[in-house]
Formats: sequence, C-alpha cells, structure tokens
Amino acid sequence: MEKIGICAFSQTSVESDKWYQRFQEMAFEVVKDLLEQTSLDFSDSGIEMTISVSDDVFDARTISDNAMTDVLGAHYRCEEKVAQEGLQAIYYACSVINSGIADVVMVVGHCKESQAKSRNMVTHMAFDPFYARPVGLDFQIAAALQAQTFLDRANIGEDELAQIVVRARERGSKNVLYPNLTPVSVEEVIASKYLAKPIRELHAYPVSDGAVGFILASEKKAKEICKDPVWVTGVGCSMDTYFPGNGDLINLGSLKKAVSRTLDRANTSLDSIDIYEFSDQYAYQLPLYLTNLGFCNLEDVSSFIKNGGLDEKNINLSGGMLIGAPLILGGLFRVVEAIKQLKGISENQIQDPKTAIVQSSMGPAAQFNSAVVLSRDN
Amino acid sequence: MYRNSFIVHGKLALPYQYFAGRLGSKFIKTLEKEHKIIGTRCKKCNTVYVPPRSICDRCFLDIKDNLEEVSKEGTVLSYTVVNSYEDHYPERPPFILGLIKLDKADTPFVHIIKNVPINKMKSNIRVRAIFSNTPTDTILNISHFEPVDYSVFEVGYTYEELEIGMSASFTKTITETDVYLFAGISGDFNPMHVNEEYSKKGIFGKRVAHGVVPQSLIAPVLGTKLPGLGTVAIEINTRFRRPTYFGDTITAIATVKEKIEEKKWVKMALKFINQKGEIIADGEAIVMPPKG
Amino acid sequence: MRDRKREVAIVGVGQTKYSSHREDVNQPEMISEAIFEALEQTSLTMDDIDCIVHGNMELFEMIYQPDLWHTIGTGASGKECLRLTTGGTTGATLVCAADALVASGMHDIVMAIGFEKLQEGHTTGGITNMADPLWGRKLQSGALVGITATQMIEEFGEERAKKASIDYRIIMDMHAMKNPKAHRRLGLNFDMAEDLMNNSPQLVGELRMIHMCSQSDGACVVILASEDKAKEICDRPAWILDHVTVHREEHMGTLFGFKKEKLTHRHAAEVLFKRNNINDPVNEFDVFEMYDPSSWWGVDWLREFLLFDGDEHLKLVENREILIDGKFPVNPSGGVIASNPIGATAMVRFAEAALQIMGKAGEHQVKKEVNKALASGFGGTFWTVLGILTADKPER
Ligand SMILES: [Zn+2]
Repeated sequence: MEKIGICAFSQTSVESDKWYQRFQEMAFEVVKDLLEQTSLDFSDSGIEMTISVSDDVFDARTISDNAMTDVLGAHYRCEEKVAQEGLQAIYYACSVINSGIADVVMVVGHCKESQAKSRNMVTHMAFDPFYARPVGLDFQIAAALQAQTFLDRANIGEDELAQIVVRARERGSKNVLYPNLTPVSVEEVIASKYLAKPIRELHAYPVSDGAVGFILASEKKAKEICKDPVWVTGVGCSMDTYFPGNGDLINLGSLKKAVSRTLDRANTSLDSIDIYEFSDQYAYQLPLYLTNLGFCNLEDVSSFIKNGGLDEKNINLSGGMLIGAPLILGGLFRVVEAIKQLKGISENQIQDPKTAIVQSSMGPAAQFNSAVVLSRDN
Repeated sequence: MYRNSFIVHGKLALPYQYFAGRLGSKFIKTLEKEHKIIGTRCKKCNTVYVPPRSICDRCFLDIKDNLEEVSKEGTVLSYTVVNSYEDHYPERPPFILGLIKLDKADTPFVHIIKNVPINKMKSNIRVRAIFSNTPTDTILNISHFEPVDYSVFEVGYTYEELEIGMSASFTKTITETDVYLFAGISGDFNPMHVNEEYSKKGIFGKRVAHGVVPQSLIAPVLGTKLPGLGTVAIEINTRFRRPTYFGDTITAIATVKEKIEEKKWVKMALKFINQKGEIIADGEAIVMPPKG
Repeated sequence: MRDRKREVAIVGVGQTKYSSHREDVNQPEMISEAIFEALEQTSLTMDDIDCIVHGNMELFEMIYQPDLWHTIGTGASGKECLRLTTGGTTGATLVCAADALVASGMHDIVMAIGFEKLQEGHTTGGITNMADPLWGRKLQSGALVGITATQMIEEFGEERAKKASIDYRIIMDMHAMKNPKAHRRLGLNFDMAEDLMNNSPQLVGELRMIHMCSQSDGACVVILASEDKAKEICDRPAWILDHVTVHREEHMGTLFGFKKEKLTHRHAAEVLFKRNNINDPVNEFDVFEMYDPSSWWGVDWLREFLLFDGDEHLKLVENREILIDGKFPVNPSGGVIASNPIGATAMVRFAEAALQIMGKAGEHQVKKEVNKALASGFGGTFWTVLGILTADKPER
C-alpha cells in the first residue's frame, strides 16, 4: 500500500475515573489540540472526514456518535464511527486516503470505562445468549481460560508474570499522562488477589478513561501539513472463529495473520522492526503473543522474560497496555507511544528507532487482532 | 472527590428476547427431555460442533441437518476459578468454570464444574454432565459437570510444593500376629523371631520382630502422606539401631532433606523411634514426587 | 471530480426475506441466509471474499461487538474485518467503506453485511437512549416525530398534503406487492385512500400508523469488486460513481422543527450533483431508492433530494410518476415503509438500486433500462448518505 502520514497526535491523560469530564469534553480536548498543531479546519481543503472510535454499550447511548457531531466537526460534513478496536480506524483511514476519496482524515477515539458499573458486564454482552451468557462468560473469564492453558503448556509461572507487571508499571510511572499509576513489587503482584485464577488483580490493565486522536493524510498532503510526519506503511487485521470454537486457545491464528498481513503491506519483516508495542490487557498476554510470533517458544519463554528479552528486543518500552487504556483504544494509545519513540520524545526513549509495529486485540481470548507498521524518514 | 460535578445515574434496562433458532431450540430441548447432547457435523471437514451450529464457518456450508449425539463425558481443556463477583455470574464466587470438550465432539464449550475441591482443580480431568431438573431454555439444562473419577484429586505434594523440613509420620504397635504373618510372607522362620524359648538364650533375651517390619512403616508415610499419593520410591537405605520387641509402638518419620533440581527428585531423611523415644533405625530415601 | 485509484462496482446482492417473525433462526443464522444468496448470485465462494464489513445498532439487540459472535454465520474467520456503525445510515456507510477498501487496492472483493433483528430488542427504547442523558432523555419519545406533517399541511393545505402522503403510501405498497422479500405487503389500492387517511390510528397529529415504516428482522449483503474482477463476476455490474455523507449537529430546535435549518438531504444532493454535473435529477436518474421512514417524510424528502423549491415533489406523487412504470420510479422495492431492518435498511437502498442496474430485480424490475440510479440512507439526527450507481464504468 501507499504510505500515509500521521501529521499530528494527541491524547488526554488516562485515569481510572475522569469524573470531571463527559466523553464529549474528553474528545474535544484532543480535537482542539490536533487543530492547533496542524492549523487545519473542517473544510474541503482541510479535514474532509472524521472517523470516531467508541461503542454504544460503553457509552450507554444508541448511536453514541450523534452526541459527537459538533465536537468532531461534522456539522454538514462527514463523520463515521468505527465500533471496533481502535486501530481499525487507522485501517479504514488508509483505505479512504489510498482510494482517493479523501486526503485528510481525523481519527478520534474516546471511552470512559468508568461509566459502566463493571467492564466485565459490558464484555459479557459480546457472548451469545443461549450457551455462553448463562454460564457467565466475559472477556476476563475467557482470558483466564486462555491464561491457564498457557501456564499449563508453557514454561512460565507467577514470577515471570509478576516481573512483566513490575516492568510495565515502572516504565508507565514515568509518563505524567498516567497519574494513577504506581510502581509495584514482585511480591505485591503475587500477593494481589485472584480475579479469575490464574489472573490476579495486578495482572489486569487498570480501568481507564481517556481519549486519543490523530490527523492522517496522503503522502503529499502530509508533507504540506507538517515537516516530519510519521508514516503508516502497513495495516492489517484478522478475525478468528467464535470463542471457544477454536479449541487451542494458545495458538493465535488471527494474531499471526494480522501481523503478517501488516508486514506484507509494509513490505518488511518482523526482524527488521526496531520497536514493538503490544496491547497486553493481562500480564500473560505479552509472553503468549511473543511465543506466537516467534520471539521465543513455549520452552524458553521463562528465560526470555527473566533474562531481559523484553528490554533487549525493545518490546513494550512504554509499559504496554498494562499501564492503562480503555479496552477499545488499546491500539491507538500504543500508536501514540510508538510515535513518541520514533520522534525521540518518549519517557523511555531508546536510541534512534526508525520503525515500529503496534498490535491490538479485541474479543474473547484475542479473537480479533489488528496491527500497523509505522516508520519515519531518516 | 466529585466536587462540583453532577452524576446522572442511568441504567440500560431494555427488554430483550433472543431466539435460539430451530436448531438451537432442538439442542436445548433435547438436553431437557432426553438428557442427550447433540451436535452437528460438517461432512466436508468432519468437524463436530457442540453446541450445534447451522453453518460450518470453516467451509461455509449449511450443516444444520447433520445432527449427531455426542458423549455426556469429556475432558477439561482449561479452567478458571472465578474469584471476583459480578451480577452476571451464575454462582457466588469462588466457583469453577471449565472449557470442556466432550468425547465425539470437536469444539469445546464453557460450563460450570462442581464437586471439585477448589484448590485441587486442574486441567485434563474427565468430567460428566449432570442434567438439571428444572428446565431453563438455555445450556443450563445441563446443571453442571462433575468429575468422573475423584481419585485424581488425591495427589500428594509436587516437587514445587515440597519444602525442606516438611515432615510426616505413621505410628503402629507391632504385634505377634504381624511378625508371624511376615514370617509366612517371607519364609523367614528364624527361631529368634518365632521361638520364645530359643530366644531367651540369645542376645536380646526374647523374641524380636524382623528388622524390616518396623521399617516398612515408612511406606505409608512416603506413599500416602509425604510426598503422598503418586510418589514413586527410587531408593531406600536404612541402618538398624535397636531391636523391636512384640508390643512395641513404632513411629516412622520422613523429613524432606534435599531437593534434587535436575531430576525433580527429593531426598528424605528417615527415622524410626519406639514408645520410649529410642531410635530403632534411621536412613534416607530418594523419591520421585507426583507431577500434580 | 476527484480521481480514484481504481473503480469499484457492486457485483452481487443477497437479502433475507424481511419479516417481524424470525423465531426460527438466531442472528448468525439469519445473516448467513443473505450471504448464501449473494454467493449463489455471483458464483463466488467464501474463499473469494477478502474482507467483511459489518454493522448494526448494538443496543437494539444488546450484543457488544456482535461481529465476534456473528463470525459463525458471516464466514469472517481468517479474514480482514471492519465494523462501522452510524445509526440508520449504517448500511450505506458500510457500502461506502467497502467501496474505499476496494478502491484503495487493499482488497479485490469485499462483502458488506448489514442486519438487524429488531424482534429481539426494544427499538423505541433503544432509540430513546440516543438522546443525551443529561438534557434530552426525558423529552424524546422514539422516532415518532410528526412535525413534517404539520408543516406540509400548513404549506399545501390539509387536503392536498394528506392526499399526497397517502398516495405515496399506497404506491409504496403496490411496489412491495411486487417484491417477495418485502415485509409488509398489504394489498392497498388508490380506492382506499380516503378511508386510510382518515381512519388509520393517529400517532402524532396527522402522522398515522399507516404512514410509518415497519420494524423488521433481516439481513442484506452486498459484494463489491475491483474493476478487473467486476466484469468477470457480473455481466452488468453497478458501478459506484460517487457518494457523500452529511451529518448535522443535534439540538432540540432542529430536531423538533422549531427552527427549520437546511436538511442534510438537500445539502448532500447539492454537493453530490455539483461534483457529478447532475443538473436535472428527475430526468437523469432512472430510479431512486430513498430511505423513507414514513410517507410524510417520503414526499417531503423528494423535494429536498431533487432540489425542488415549489410543489414539484407533490406533482410527482399526484401524477403517479413515482410508480415503478412512471417517469421517475421511487422505491420499486417498496422502500423502508415496507421493510426496515435498521442496520441493513440503508444498505438495501444501495442493493436495490444495484439490482435495478444489473437487471436482477425480478418482478419489481423497472421496465425501462436503468443506467443511473440514486440511493439514500438516513439516520442519526438527520444524517444522510447519498450515492450514485451507474451501468457504465465511470470516466473521471
Ligand atoms: Zn467444515
């Protein structure tokens, strides 16, 4: 595919309860910042289309984007809502821009997980009403079943999971936009109570409120809008069969397909990527993804984690999704962190990375996966 | 905390009625009326879907008429112990949910598992469907699953669970009957064990038990207590210290002495004492603890 | 008008029968019926489909991210998938997105799926949840807004306005009688006009039960293909010339008609017609599939979409020119008044317009050759998606 440029990015702080803002205000903070950064307006020579990301159940509103028309600059203009994992808004924007239908697209995702009594209650609604809801399934339970299979079959245990959480929080705590995040010790992780065994409270990503947005443009337009755009060179995704129709919960076909499609479109390989940002909603997911993508195998995953493989390979330098992000925005918040690394402005900056891959998942036991490859000019 | 900020409480309490469809209804009714579990087979890829699906999404073929019965027993592929409370849970925590694949089916589903000690639950156990007496119009026409064989939970300590210093014992009084039975088993009718008049002239002054009779009391310790069920003994070495007379009460004690990491074996210190607290034998054993 | 990387055409359409009673199937099963029909029409298999685009209203059935469960019936497993929701316009938005996915070169063949199983939920309750919980939830009562009837009566007189809206309603039913997929097929004729317009139960003022759209269960599937593939798959594909999406800000003044701001319908038509040099829509389009939630709106919106200012729209109805064999056929399928599976409804407009171009509409095929068709979607708070399909591959 032809690369498209990210001309601006913005995010609000990510907090466990942004009680002082409605979701519209949260999104407006991001939109205002994006407009200021780029000096664009909503016109045929400015932003031609807005793609929002949210979903009606978390928003508790049917067609929740109708509450956003003014905020998203769509008065007598175009707005469309991706009601799916947020990276898919970038995927969609790529198709719109590459087709020639629009040159400049704004993507804005927002979600207040705190609005729901429990996010598990929301994800419970993803299941069929006859066979899965009656036994209480939700994404957390599906994750626990997947985690148990992983612990049964892989050489990994409590210590490694705790180590992943400790590392994530230590890195995330450096980021002022995550004010509720505190560092923890291995002992605290192992002592935290089980939510659904083997998943402990500190293994799970924190309940999160926040908004995030980008201005995307064709190569030509992007260069006009800003001096140093970060390029989206590949996008891709894949659906897996409905949980738990695929009996092998730790063979993530959709993750492998999503990543390989993305790399193919970007005409690159996993080895040539400098930094990796995975959306790990629970501590076991990061090592599970790594075994599926060939960073390590089921036998040596423990030593990979214990011997600093994550730092060595530049995996989740930001701390990953364990530092917080609303469920449907995991991927977009990871894109922010990848852009910061590419621009040299990350709190956890490494030297001179040029390419990044961002992954996200949605659905029970990572049924749906999505990815983007980012790069910058030399 | 919520200073100068309104909260409007809302609830999305809309009524919904979901239709399981003809096939789904047949599955649910068959559970209720016949206590049978049916699935559908895709004749192209041979996958048997349980609960039944109308379409094989791998081959995208209509398979709704290819019904077949599957077993009421199956294997737990994975499980979780749910520990936090949510309104949508079918039980009060803690409770167990298992990913269960029935025999003759290819796709697993999630259901409640009961009658298992929560801390003993593990993957790969065999379970059986227990049907509900009250119809539910859902998969809860199977009330829950139960283990087929309870003995799988009675396992001893695994290598990881054993810690140096852990100890267990067994105590028994050695009677004349024990000694005569052992003489019969082994063919060792040495007069020092079976002839009182002969023994009076010997160094112990009366009949004594065969040396291995009190020492055999270590078998129930290692095999049923520490490490416990599932243990395999590799090697036992003991030294005789004192005789055991008829009527003596002997305690066999095993203590974890060393963990042999490379083999995942454990070295146990053995000690046998009588009712006076005298050591009648000691030694050590190497055992392979159960895998869990 | 803008260049595109490549041209895209609708090459296949599948629809379930629309009905208020689909207790016999669950959601994925219902969707698969439409997919099987589209695959059969195109002689494609699921393996030929590169990407699935899916949409509906989550709260209407209360399934969170329903594409996950629906994988059982959509065949999406292993494929790329995109899920979009924009209220009533969703179905049309899905067509636009599928168009972009193919035009961009990312995919050759994309399947868009719109569905709703309204029987399972509570639509009016669901729509009421659209309003702002702080300011509006107690004010808005479903989609039953009768303001347009009052305004038309004020402008054109009671008799003429009421007659036009009931004639429109009868014409839609006459069309629906020719469409075996249509949900409500009542067998109305013009002799019944007087009785219906005076005796049908009143909802709000002169908005009566008979004027309103149905609530339906059903799914619609549209297969789009790239220019290389389109001709292989379909003899006479329906090319996508252009489309435009126009939203308008929600506020109570416009919503309840206290303040008459320009409708998005008119704005969309102005933008689209200008871009594509359409100067005389009535003569240039051979058929119009319009999202008409009630017959009052149907009549009123003809004026907006066709950029009329006077009473030309009434005349089109009065002279029966919107009949299937008239000069400007509107909704030969029977329209939304006959069938309304909300997440699919706007897609059905594009699908039916495409069938007319393909010549595959069956009994409700427009007699004259259809070379250019207009299709509209409606949703949200007066949101519009408007698109043009052509029999000739677009020259840009
Ligand atoms: Zn099959």
